[in-house]
Formats: sequence, C-alpha cells, structure tokens
Amino acid sequence: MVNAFYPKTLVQALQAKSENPSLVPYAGGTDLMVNPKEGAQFLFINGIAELKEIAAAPGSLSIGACCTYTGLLESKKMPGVLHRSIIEIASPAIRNMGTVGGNICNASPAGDTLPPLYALDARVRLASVRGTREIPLATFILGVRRIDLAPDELLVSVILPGQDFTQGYYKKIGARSAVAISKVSFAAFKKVEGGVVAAIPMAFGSVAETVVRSPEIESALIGKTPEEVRATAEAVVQMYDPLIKPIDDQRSTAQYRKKVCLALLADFLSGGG
Amino acid sequence: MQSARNFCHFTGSHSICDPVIKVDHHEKMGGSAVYIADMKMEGTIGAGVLRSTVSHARIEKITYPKIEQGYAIIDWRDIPGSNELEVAVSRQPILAEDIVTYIGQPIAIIAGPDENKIKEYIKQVRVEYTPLPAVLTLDDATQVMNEYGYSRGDVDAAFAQADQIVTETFRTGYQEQAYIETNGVIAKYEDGAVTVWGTLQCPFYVHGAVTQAFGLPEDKVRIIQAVTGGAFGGKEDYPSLISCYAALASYKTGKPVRMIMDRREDMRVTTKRHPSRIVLSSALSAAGELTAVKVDTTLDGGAYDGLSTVVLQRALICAAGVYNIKNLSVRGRAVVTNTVPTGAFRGFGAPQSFFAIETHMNHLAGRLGLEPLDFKRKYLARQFDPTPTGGQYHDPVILTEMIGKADEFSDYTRKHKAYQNQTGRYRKGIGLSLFLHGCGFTGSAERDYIKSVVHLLKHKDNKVEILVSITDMGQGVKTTFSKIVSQVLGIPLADVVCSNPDTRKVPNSGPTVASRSIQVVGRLLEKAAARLKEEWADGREQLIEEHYMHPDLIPWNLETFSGDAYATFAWGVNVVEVELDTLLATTRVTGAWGIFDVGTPIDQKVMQGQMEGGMLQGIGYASMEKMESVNGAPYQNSLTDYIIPTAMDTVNFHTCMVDNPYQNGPFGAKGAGELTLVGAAPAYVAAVENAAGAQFHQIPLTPEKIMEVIA
Amino acid sequence: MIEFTLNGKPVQVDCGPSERLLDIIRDRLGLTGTKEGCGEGECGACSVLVDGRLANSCLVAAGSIMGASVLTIEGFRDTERYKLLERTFACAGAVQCGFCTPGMVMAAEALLSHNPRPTEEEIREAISGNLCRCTGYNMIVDAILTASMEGGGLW
Repeated sequence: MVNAFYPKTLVQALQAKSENPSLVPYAGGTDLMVNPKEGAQFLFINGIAELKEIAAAPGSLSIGACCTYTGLLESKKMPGVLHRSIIEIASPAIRNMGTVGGNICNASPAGDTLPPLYALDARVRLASVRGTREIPLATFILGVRRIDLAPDELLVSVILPGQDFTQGYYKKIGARSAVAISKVSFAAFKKVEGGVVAAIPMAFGSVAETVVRSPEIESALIGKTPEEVRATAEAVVQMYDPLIKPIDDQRSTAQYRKKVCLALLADFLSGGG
Repeated sequence: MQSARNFCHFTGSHSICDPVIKVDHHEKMGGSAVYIADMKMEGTIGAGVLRSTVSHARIEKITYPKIEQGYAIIDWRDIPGSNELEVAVSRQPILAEDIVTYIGQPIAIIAGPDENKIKEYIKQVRVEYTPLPAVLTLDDATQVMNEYGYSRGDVDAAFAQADQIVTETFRTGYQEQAYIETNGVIAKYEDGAVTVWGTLQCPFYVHGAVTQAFGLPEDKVRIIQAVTGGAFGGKEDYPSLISCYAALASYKTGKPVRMIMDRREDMRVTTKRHPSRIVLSSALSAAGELTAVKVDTTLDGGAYDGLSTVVLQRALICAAGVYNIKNLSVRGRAVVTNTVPTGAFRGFGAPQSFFAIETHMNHLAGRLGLEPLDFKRKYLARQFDPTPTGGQYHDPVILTEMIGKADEFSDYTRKHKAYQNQTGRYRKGIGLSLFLHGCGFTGSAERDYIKSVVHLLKHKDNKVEILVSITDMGQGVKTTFSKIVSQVLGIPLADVVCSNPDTRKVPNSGPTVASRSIQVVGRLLEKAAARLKEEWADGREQLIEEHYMHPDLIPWNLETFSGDAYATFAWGVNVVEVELDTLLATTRVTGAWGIFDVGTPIDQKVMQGQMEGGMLQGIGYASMEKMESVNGAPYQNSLTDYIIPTAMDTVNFHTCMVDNPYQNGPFGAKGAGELTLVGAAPAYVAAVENAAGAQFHQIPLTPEKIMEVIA
Repeated sequence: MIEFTLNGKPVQVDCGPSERLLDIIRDRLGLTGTKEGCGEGECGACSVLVDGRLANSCLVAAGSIMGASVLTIEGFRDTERYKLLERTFACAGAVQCGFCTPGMVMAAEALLSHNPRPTEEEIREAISGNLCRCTGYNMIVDAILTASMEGGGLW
C-alpha cells in the first residue's frame, strides 16, 4: 500500500497511522536515518502543509511539528531564546531537514529545543482519528526517549503561550562551536512587572533524564525584586543542586556538567546574560 | 587572480615557489576524481571482518552459522603463504590463530554478495573464549616492546648540585587521524596473481605484505593507489592488513572483493597516535641555570608493535626539544597493552615529546620568575652544536630570526606579560612554542633499507613521466614533483605527467612517510631531470634512473642511540592566542601564527595548506580531540563523538616561511609534512596557562580538565 | 517507485522508500562525486542540494524526496557559478585530498544562492557542517569569500 507511506494531508496521515500503528513517522529523518531500525516502515509526513504552519493567535503561537529548524529561523515569529537554541543545532544541512517535532519526540536528554520550550511552558497538540488532545510538553516527555504518544497518534504542533518577558538567557555548551551534541544547556526568562519578578522560568538540559524545571523553586522567587533575586542566588543554586543529576559519558563528566550548569544559573540570577 | 586576503608569505624568493593550479585540482573539485569507493568493477562482492570482542583470550571454539552458496569464510588456515604481517621490524598475525590480544582483532573474514547478509552472519558467529589477564592501561603495562636510552654529560652530578629539582609528569591521549575518506581496498585474485587497488600511502609496503601472505613471486602481485582522501599516517601500515583480507577473500571466492571500511569500524580498530606518559625532571642551579634534564617516556603501543619501535625512536631523539642541554638523560619504552595497536600519525612521536618539553620549560621559567621566551633563549641549539644524540646541527639554525618574526606578527612578548594581570570572566592568553622535526627516516634507513629509486620516462612525444612510489594524499606531491621536473627541464608543467603509483610501473622510491617525499625523492627527481636535460634527445623514448645517495653524516648507531639521527632538521615557532571563559572553562582560539623553516617551499600555496592544516590538527590534539579507552576499546569511536575542529572553531592563521635553503634538498627544500603539526599543541596549552594563571600537564586539555584546575 | 528531479532531469528509481539518497545517487545512478565519509550526518561529504537547500544525503530517505529537486556536484559543475568557484578554490589553494571538496562546493552554492555577499562569519557557519581534515578551512573560506566578491551577479 504505497499511498499509506506518503499522506498528502494530516487526515490521511492519521488514517494510515491508525491502520498501521507500527509506521514510523518520518519528518526530517536526521535522527531516524542515523541508525534505521531493521524493517522499519516510514510514514512520510515531511510534505504535509498543515504540519508546517506557524500561526500566531492572540495569546499563543502554534508551530507545526514538521517545521524545519531553518524554517523556524527564517520566520520572524520565534521567541529570541528559542531562536538562539535552534541556530546552535548541528549544522546548516541538519537544520534544513530536522524538525522541532522530531526533536521533541526523540526526547533525548540533550535535545536542544527542549529547555527553551520547557521554559516557555510549551504545550503539545496530539492528534489521532479519535480526536485531538493538548498537554504540557513537560508531561508529554516521560523519560529518556519515552513520550506519552499513543501508537495511533501524531504530534501535530507545539503551542507557546504568548508571554512578555523582560529578559531571556540561553547557553549551550558543546565540545565545539558547531555540530555538537549539548553537554549542558540552560534556558531562562525573567519577567519583571512593577519592579518585582512576575515569572522566572528556568530549564536545564542534558543534566538529567529529562529537562529539569522546578515550579516550586521558581515560585519562591516570584514577588522578589531583581536585587533580592541576585542576593539569594547562592541559596537558589543550592536548591537546584539535588535536581541536577548529570552522568559521565563520552562527551563530558558529571562533575563538569553540574558545575557549569549551576554556574550558568548563578550567572542568570545575578543579572548576567 | 588574487585571493581575498593573503596571510602567508615567504621571506625568500624563487620562481619555483610561485603557486600553480594543482595538477589534480579539476577532477577533485568537480567530483570526477576516482577514490577507491568510486571505482566501478564488475562482479565485486563484499567482505566483513569477524573481530574479537574481548581484550585478551584464548579462542576455544568458533561456531559459524550455516552460510549460503556464494558466501565464504576465510580464517588463518586459508592463508597460502605466511600469516605474518611485517611492519617495520615487527610482526603481527594477519588473522588471529588461537589467541586474541585486543578488542577488534580480526579473527576471520566472511565474504559474499550482500553486505547486510555478511553483517548478519558475523553477528551469528559464536566464539568461545577463555579470558586471559588483560592489561588495559599504559600505567599497568609491564611488557615492553622495545626500549632505548642515551645520555650525555654528567646528569647525576648536576642533580646532586642542584638548587631545585622540578619533576613533572605529562600525559597525552590518543589522536585519531580522522581522514574524511575511510580505509578501503578492492582486491582481485586471478590466475595466480593478486591486484589490489586502495587508498594508501605506501604501495610497496602493501606489495610486500600481500606477497608474503600468498607466498607469491614479486611480479605476481600488483598494487595500485587510488586517489586518496587524506591519510596522515593512518594509511601507512593499516592498508597492508586490509589488502590481505580482501585478497584472501578473492582467492577463496574467485571474485573481486571490495572492502570499504565503515567509519565507526575504522575508528575502533585502525591505528592511531600513541598515548604517552612523559616524566621530565630538571635540575636548576642556584643561579637559575638549567643544568640537567632527565626524560622518561612511555608510549602505549597497543597489542602489537607495528610502528611503535620507530615512533619511540623519534620521540626520544627529540625529547630535549630545540635545546642544547649539556647534561641530559633520555630513556623510553613502548609498552604492550591489550588495546588497539597504535601507529603513525603526522609527527610520529614528536608531538608527544614537544608537548612535554615545551610545557615543562614554560613551567621552569615560571618557577624562576622568568618569561618563558627569556628562559628558553639561553638554551637554543645553534648551528654546529651537537645534537642530543651526539650528531651535529650541520645546517644553519635560524630560530632567533624566526622567534623575532613570531613576536613581531603576534605581539607575543607584550601580550604574554599583559595577560598575566586579568580579572573578569573572559581572559585572554597567548602561548609560544619552539620545535623541530628531523627530515626523513631516522639514521641510515634510507641507505640501508629503503634505497630509493626514481624513474623519469621521456616519451617519444617529449612528455616526461614521473615514475615514483610516492603517493599524493592531499599534500600535493604530484604537483610539487611535477614542478621540480618541469623547472629543471625548462618545459611546461602540462608536459609533465605524474600518475598514482602502480607497483608494476614504478620503482620503489620508498614509502610516503617521515617527511621524506620532497627532500629525498624530490631531490632524486631533480637530479634525474638534470641528467635528462643533458641527455635530452627529441622524439626518442628515454628512461633516466636515479638512486639514493646517502649524505656524509656522523653515522647513526641504533644500539648506542648515537650519531646523526637525521640528515637535517626543519624548524618551527608557533604562537596561539585564546580567550578563556573562566565561568565555563571553555576556550576560543582568537589567533594563531606559524613561522616555519622548511628550506625553499616548492609551492607556496601547497605549503600554506600544510601549515594551516597541520596547525589546526595540532590545536585539535591539544583541545578537543578526546579518545579514551574504556574497558579496552575506544570510547569516542564516531565522528559524532570524536570531536575535530569545524570551520567555526578556528580563525585566519598568519603563516610565514623563512628563507634557509637546504643544500641537499631540491631547490633547497626540506621535509615539511609533519613539522606543521608538531608545535601547535604546546603553544595552545601555554596560551590557556597564560589566561588561567594555572599549570596543566595533559592533553587533550578539555574544559573538563581545565575546570578541575581553575575551579 | 521513487520519482524526483536530479540535476534538472526527471528520474525514476525502483527502490525502497527508506533507501538513502546517497546510495541512490552513487550506486543506482552511478554519480560518485558525492562521497560518504561517516554515514551519520556529521562530516558533510555527502552534501547535496534538495530544493535548493543543503542536505546530508546519507540521512535523506528516498521516500522523503518524492517530487523534490536534487542537485549534485555533477549537476552543478556545468554552471558559470561553479567555474568561478573552481578558479577561486584553485587560487586559494583550497583543495588538498579533495574528499570534502564536492560537499564544500555544494555548501558554497547553498550559501551564495541565498546570501550572495556573506561575511566571513557567515561563510564559516555555512560550511560548519562540512568537515575538512587537510586544509584547516581558512583557505576554503578565502575561496568562497573571493567568489562572492568577484561573483558579479552570478548569485
């Protein structure tokens, strides 16, 4: 059934997935093709226009799952911190093919778009022939390469709630300036309203099984002035310490990762960036 | 057409230096150059290698799956000749017999039409091993492949009288050549003869290996070099092994066999740079004089010697760097570990030694409150000084002029002092290194073993063909050889032909190693061309043969490790500037300068390519190229995990060659291929030390390692 | 059956949808100018243009380029743009072993066709996914910069 592999619309894709739950959705292929599973059958969704739309609505921005990184970079609608995380992904050739949906569904601890998306309170829209549902990205990703996606579902879009931040902060540490899997990454925002912090989302990548973000620690900072936040930076760093559980691997050491990730946090809290 | 910017110049001038369009530019640019994987041949089948999965064991039993018609299994018993691969003075099995000594050691070959099926079959093979004790690190090694030592003066007395003794241990890791084209061959056994095409540096090494493996007469084995996509020493001895596999598979199946190595397999099992541990101990007098140095060097040779003995020789010969140290003791050994055999990589023992000696000298200067350059200047070797091994620096040594240029271009002296008082998160650092490289093979190997021969064949149409065994692997030797011949004969470059060597057509001019191609073989071509010019007869076919003549040197004695180790030396000064982010311990190279004495550059652009490419490899070696051995196998074994620099990791380099023609080199040229890598690592480390205000003792000096010290 | 445009001509290839574009180009269509250096999208030796965008053909499944337009070095080398790059690469000495070169040339074309007057930074970024072990990159950057300056309306 050749047509099952090349759906022209989302409806066709969902139909195919429902009939053949083992079909592997192929968006950019940049991860799938590195180590293709024996006998995998691909569902090519890279050409479906609905999955490539970027739509700004009042109070939110919807990014189609099959938007390539290059497509997002060329759109003027990406929040700055997200833009900065995308431009440091891999290489131009990878960015031309790779998609934000693929980065999310891969659910690698080192996924480059994930810390900014977590910090932006991203939600994901999932669809199947049974309907659609929308859940926070933070609950969609369950663990290393594990997502809450039913066999007949496809990730359709990522939704960013519209937020006005005063400051954004992003840093990725790789082994070289390009084409580097992240050793550590950190994305954070500060929203200052009426002289006090109204929101301060902070997200850490590559230092645990999934992105680390702590609404509890963040809420302790809400209502403080930026100076007060700066003054308590050390204490805040201590609060994050037990949540940061990096590993030794071929790229880096747990010791280094922990040190720099907390150093970036301290830098952000002290007004750096 | 002028280039956009020109950051390279030569202080001398000679028309031969003027750049030309390289003779193979057109086909490489447009994708029509035929590399081994591009060769089309009817009826080829593939082959894969069954490899040991344990570090040291006795093979008790091998159970193969049932294989289809058209597939074959080849093991050591199928080898018609000898199961011994000769590499320099060493031996290793082509295929394991009853013992395996490293993870990845080849045990058998499975050949057949479908690569995926071959992979399947290999997965299904069951090997029963009885594990034997395995030595996995240099520090734990006890078995020595070879050791040497030499000394001069009275080291013990100097140490006894010393005011300070400074002892430091330096360590270097693997470096993977990471040629962009992996190893690969095609072999055909037919009518009692073997032909092998491959990406390789040394056609006659492969010829020797295959001849021995098959027990065939020399004229029944033919080796042809394909266009080679980079090598750097990584295709010096390894192709001999893989050629034997493909040839044996062809012998057994009756079909031509094509083996192109997968990148991860290539990185896991082929040779790489020797990791080292170098202990330097220096005696300083009360007056701040460096009175004696002791060097103790250990190289991790992996499971088989291969080229380790020769790498060790070079590492020890240059252990004292560019310095004339009156009281010197140098000892070293290559040790056996149950890990992948190490081998040749541009520099061949010198990068390890120079990292150690230059960093140690910087630290000694620091101890004495001196600027490194002020300290080092006092001990620089000069012409007619004895070399550490009791030879002599016969030719002019122009280090002082080169240092002056390096300082002028980079402003090193002022910056190095100024950078010592920085505060703030981002700190600059600048470092300088001094180094040399002995040109050509050590000692009398050229005269006693290699006995290089070149042919110039003038065809009837007056085109002149260069027939040598030297391979172009990107260093441009087809172009530079052609320039030498065309210039001497006074004929257009287009009338000179230089093809990839075919052992049936070319004499043995020796291997493409040891920075010998231009200096030794180029010189022979210069002489041959001069003779052809004299004897030129229009319209007639003429063959000129030229044989190597050893220059008059202080004889090299390997047992006493004394004499002139090399005919001459090439020299270098490198300066590297970095910016260190002290919060994250990451660095950015912000400047690099290379001043080199390679005699006369046969082509300035070709040399610029060597200087810039070599220096970046050296910077990579010092900073990001980390390959660890974990549980006996390379951990970073892909281009994803083994990090080499990208275009965004570097800046424009400023290079300069100084005029110092070598009387025995063609047009005054000296060996240059390896020199350009040797000095970059110590210059980089010195820059980071300057920025961090700290001392380091190992490379790769990754952010993780920097952080351990500065945190 | 996979159908796409290769170097300006329509092609039909009878292959599985998950076959690599690199293998289709090299093995089925015999165009060996595009190289394999790593098979995992790290080295860029396999670079081609897909719908005018640089792509690592070792990571492109046949099924994903149905109806797309693919350009390889063999298709590009007949153009005036290529001839200029050939000259500037020669003058700059930017080719040593040559294995990365076709990929670098495609990356240069991908850059200049979208950005005809790039800065040096932009050139470095444009070739950041093309590994070279021989040259140290600067001479390649020089070649592309010169081409952009002498390009005179070619891009």
